[in-house]
Amino acid sequence: MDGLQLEAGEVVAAREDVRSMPVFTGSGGEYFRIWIVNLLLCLLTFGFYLPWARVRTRRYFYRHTLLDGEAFDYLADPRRLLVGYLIIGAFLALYLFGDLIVFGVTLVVVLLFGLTFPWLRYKSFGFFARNSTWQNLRLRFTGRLGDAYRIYLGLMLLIPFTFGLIYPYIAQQSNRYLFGNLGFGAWQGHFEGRVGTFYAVYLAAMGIFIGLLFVVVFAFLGLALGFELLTVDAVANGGAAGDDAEVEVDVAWLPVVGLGLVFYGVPLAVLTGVGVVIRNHCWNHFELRQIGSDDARVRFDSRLRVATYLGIFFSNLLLIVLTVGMFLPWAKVRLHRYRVACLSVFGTEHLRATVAAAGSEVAAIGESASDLLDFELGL
Amino acid sequence: MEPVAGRYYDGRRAEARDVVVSARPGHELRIAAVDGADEWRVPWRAIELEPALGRLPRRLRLADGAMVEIAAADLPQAWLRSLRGSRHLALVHWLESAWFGWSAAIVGVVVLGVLLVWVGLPWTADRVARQLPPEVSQRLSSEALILLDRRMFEPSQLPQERKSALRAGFAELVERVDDPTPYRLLFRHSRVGPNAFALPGGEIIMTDQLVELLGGDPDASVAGDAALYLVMAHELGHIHHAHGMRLLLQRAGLAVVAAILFGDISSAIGLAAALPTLLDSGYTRAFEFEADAYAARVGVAGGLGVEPMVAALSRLEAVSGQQPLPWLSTHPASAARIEALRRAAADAEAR
Repeated sequence: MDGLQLEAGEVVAAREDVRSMPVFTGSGGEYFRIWIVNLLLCLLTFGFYLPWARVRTRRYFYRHTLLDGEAFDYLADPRRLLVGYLIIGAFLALYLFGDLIVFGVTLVVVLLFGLTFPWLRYKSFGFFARNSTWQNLRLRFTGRLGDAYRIYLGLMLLIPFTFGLIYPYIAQQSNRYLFGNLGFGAWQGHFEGRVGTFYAVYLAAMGIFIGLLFVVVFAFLGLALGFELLTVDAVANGGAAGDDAEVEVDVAWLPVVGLGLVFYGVPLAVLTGVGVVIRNHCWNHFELRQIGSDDARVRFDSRLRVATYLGIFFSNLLLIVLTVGMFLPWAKVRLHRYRVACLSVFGTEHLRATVAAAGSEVAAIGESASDLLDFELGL
Repeated sequence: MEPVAGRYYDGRRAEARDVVVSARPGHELRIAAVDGADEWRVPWRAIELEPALGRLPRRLRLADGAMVEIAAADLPQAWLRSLRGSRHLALVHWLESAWFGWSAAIVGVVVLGVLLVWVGLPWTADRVARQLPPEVSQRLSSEALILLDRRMFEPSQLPQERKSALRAGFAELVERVDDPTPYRLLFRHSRVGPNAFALPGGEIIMTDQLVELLGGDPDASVAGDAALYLVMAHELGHIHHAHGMRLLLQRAGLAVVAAILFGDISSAIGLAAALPTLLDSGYTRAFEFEADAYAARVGVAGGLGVEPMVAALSRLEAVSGQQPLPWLSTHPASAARIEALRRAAADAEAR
């Protein structure tokens, strides 16, 4: 990532834009109380409170995330989310149980979901943007539905024919679709994330994954061989078999549990690492340009470190398991705080006092559309 | 009424303005810029107060898209009483803020969570399983059998007359339990050693290895194939109580609950994946006890008792040997099962 950081640094030096560091002012303890009450109400209402819980949680994180001392806000109407959740829930229920009632339903549901997925994506990006505000000004999303179908249906269908090699391109296009179509007031997002970088990241991840898998498999073979010897030994000793069998019983589950953790942990670590690198790349190649002017730009610089991020992620996971889930609010705050701390924004002073141009009308039209999937960009 | 300090955002400009806010509650809000340049008057009905959240400043949304932010502590009580939205989620905010409120929420979540997992889900799954038409479990059965035959089984190598004898005994057993389900007894040579399976549609599969291990018991205290018939009765119990379908439904329910509780954070994936597995083994063990109780009733009614089953359990444990971790196991430890079996038999005899 050094190259990317250097690049961002050069730009900054040239333009002398003011650097703003977003801050997160929330706390794990305070969020815990919101979380536990949300849980209680979800349980009491058989899950129907979920949209209200989601909005409250997101509002807590947005309102405590400050850029230039000004908070973000999340204004979604939970009743809208409820409609979306019910539709997704119906899909899921049909997928899980459809075949029990009428054979073949699952296949139809999968096809139907594949066909509606691009539309859901398109809708949820719009919903997310429209309901996110900074200084009481809504973001907007101006992506076209056709592009959503090209990326999330057309390109996706090519995955099997290209043996998955098209996937990094899809990831790049997907990020371009979101970032490049974001707008704020008189500002329009531009995304310059490079396809080459996406390929480099995914191929490197593939290499690391295969390498780690080899290590794991060989370690397992070694362990298995050890146990084989132990068993043979037990049989050979005959008379003392009882005692030896006891030993075997006590340790037999170790490789199983260890293997499960590693086979589960390796892909999770690689995927999370990919997410971190891609996230940096996307932010570092995203900028806001003033519509009708080439002069002022707002740039972003994300410097998440893979090792630090994975450290937080896996220690969170461990603590969540050890506390039967109770650590979850602190885990979420920790991760969010780190993400925010690694982001810098250059040139926010240009954003101030810019009048919303096309933004307000777009928001008004979009507002009347029904919104389905909830989507999180995560600042 | 004392005016309060606030920040005004017009919704068109990314810029905050320091303002002084005063009001005639119920009538009008007056917002004056500190620099004296502007003043806005807003009818009381055109204002909506956003729900309180932690100690964050309160936001008043005005009908024209503007917003005024006022520190929570500064907001006069008189305004709160009449502002639209001021009671919205007020109880939720009280629960979150008051010591008593969130402590009660912790207790509530633990109690409700346990109730949901141990009572609510099993009860619902039981009800739903009973409502499903029999074709559903029959189709599930035939699909499962195809899969099992491909992965786990080979054709049985038992002599024909042995199978016929056992089938005759099985038919007698089925007649005694008086159940409309079309039960069938199947034999298979297994790659997994001695075992018996029940499929939800009514098929009971016994492996050759199990028949060889438990049949014609040389133990003088046990008559002939009694242990085998009790194992059959145990599997009949599984089918009678629709355990297969209930397990399927309970698993789906658990997955949904886990998704709702932990779905909003990726680092919870681990817990969401591990928790159902742990609880799942709890469910299957409960089913084993239920099937054992059924077998005990059938055994006592048929004059077989439960002792052959007790002997069979010890024998099976000796053969299969290692029980990994008791709480990860799908079958309860033999000692506990034997005790429960004898208790169930005593109950059946008392009746």
